Amino acid sequence: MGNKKLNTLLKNPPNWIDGKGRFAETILSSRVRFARNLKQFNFPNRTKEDELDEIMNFIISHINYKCITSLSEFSPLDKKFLVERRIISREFSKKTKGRGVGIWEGENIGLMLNENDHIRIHSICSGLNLELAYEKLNKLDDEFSESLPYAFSSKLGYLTACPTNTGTGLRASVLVHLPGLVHSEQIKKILEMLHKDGFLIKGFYSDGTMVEGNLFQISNQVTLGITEEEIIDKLHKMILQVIGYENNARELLLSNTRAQLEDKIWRAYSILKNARLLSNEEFINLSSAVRFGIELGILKKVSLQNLNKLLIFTQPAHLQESIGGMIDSTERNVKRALYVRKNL
Amino acid sequence: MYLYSIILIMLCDICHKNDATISYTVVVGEKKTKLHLCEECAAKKGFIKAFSLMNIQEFIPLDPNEPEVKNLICPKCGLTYKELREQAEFGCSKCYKTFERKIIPLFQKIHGSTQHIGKLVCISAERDKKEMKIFKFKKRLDKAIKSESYEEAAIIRDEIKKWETKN
Repeated sequence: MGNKKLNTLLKNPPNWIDGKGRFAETILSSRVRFARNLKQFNFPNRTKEDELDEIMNFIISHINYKCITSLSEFSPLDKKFLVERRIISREFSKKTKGRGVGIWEGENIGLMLNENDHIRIHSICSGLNLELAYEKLNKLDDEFSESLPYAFSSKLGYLTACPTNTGTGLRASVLVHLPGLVHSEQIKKILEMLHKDGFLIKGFYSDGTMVEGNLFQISNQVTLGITEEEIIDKLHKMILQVIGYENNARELLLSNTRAQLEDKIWRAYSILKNARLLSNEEFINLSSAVRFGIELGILKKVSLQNLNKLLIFTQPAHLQESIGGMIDSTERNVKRALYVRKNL
Repeated sequence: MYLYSIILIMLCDICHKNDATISYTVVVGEKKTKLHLCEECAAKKGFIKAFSLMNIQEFIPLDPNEPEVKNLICPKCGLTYKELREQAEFGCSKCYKTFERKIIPLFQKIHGSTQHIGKLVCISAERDKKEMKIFKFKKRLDKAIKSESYEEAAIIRDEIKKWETKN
């Protein structure tokens, strides 16, 4: 039986995937996060479990946000659910004691206590809207910094456990759907370009070798010697550039292979509409084709909002939480197929 | 044309651990084999000189004969220099001061900079704010001079003077 605190999350999809915002068909979400530490405590990697509790209590008693839940209150399945929901990281979900989770504003704002750093706060918006996400995050960070003694030096900025976060402690990322670049086999060139310009790109659904669903996460790499606004602005501009390339690739695909493309899209839709067994992987990949169909105006009867909702609620832990317990993968595939048939 | 998924990252054919980022076609007799290697293994095989941004150990030099290195232990969290190299993570905020001299090149490599110019802590000392303001103005001054905007440069110079004389 799942934690009661997850009931609302089980009923409603998160705000950040509501299909609104700029370029919402192609850009699912814009996310920003700050890594912060307190100067008087050792970082979590060098703190014993009971002292982690002390740090957590210190933070909770100094900020005005009271709805922070201890990670130990969640079952292993609950934690997988929170990972699928992008509220906590996979690494963090393996921990138990002395860690805290906060979820606010319909999941637009999230908090992890004692992950790699004492405080990790993030803000997510639907579509391409890094500015708004940053504005919210920054406001919250200002509030925190008035009552929490942050570890900060005028030379190196915010001091974090990992040197790759030092400085602003800001990681901004955008979740983007790039089927055009993948199909036209131009994606490798884009990856190289992004790497060269100091951005990180990885598959959103990836086991390390394959990228499923043509969904990519693009983020900044540099956090020191640059202002927060510059990070946001540079990433924003880079994303616009990537979308430009994606649109060119789409136009070319449409003019050269329209029939094949339409066929693939309609077949994907038909499978989703009729399948009796659907693995997570298959769903992710077919849903990419359906998304492509929506974006190209080929599939007019599917709403983006609905498709986004399916992407969230067909994940393994989501399916299991919805029926209140663990089930094996075959049973999950049956449930997933049923859910998709009913809701697409 | 594959519509749904692509192979983006392959694992290295030699170590099977790291992502393969380089492909080579090796010709032995008439047989051609395509190798996908990570940078490390490629370097070991003599294909390229290794350079990996996140290979932090490379950038934190360790000379065991250097007496200073042996004694480098953070007084607050007890992290040793050896541990810092191994785990590539600091143990507390004091570590930054303890290992300062050793880690500056690391930041230069990772971020291309060793000076924070972003947000300041709300309650940070006025002195910090002053230093930061001056630093930011100097950066703007450089830009202005480079773009030959001399009028703007003069204004910025005045600002710097104003801040430098502020107590």
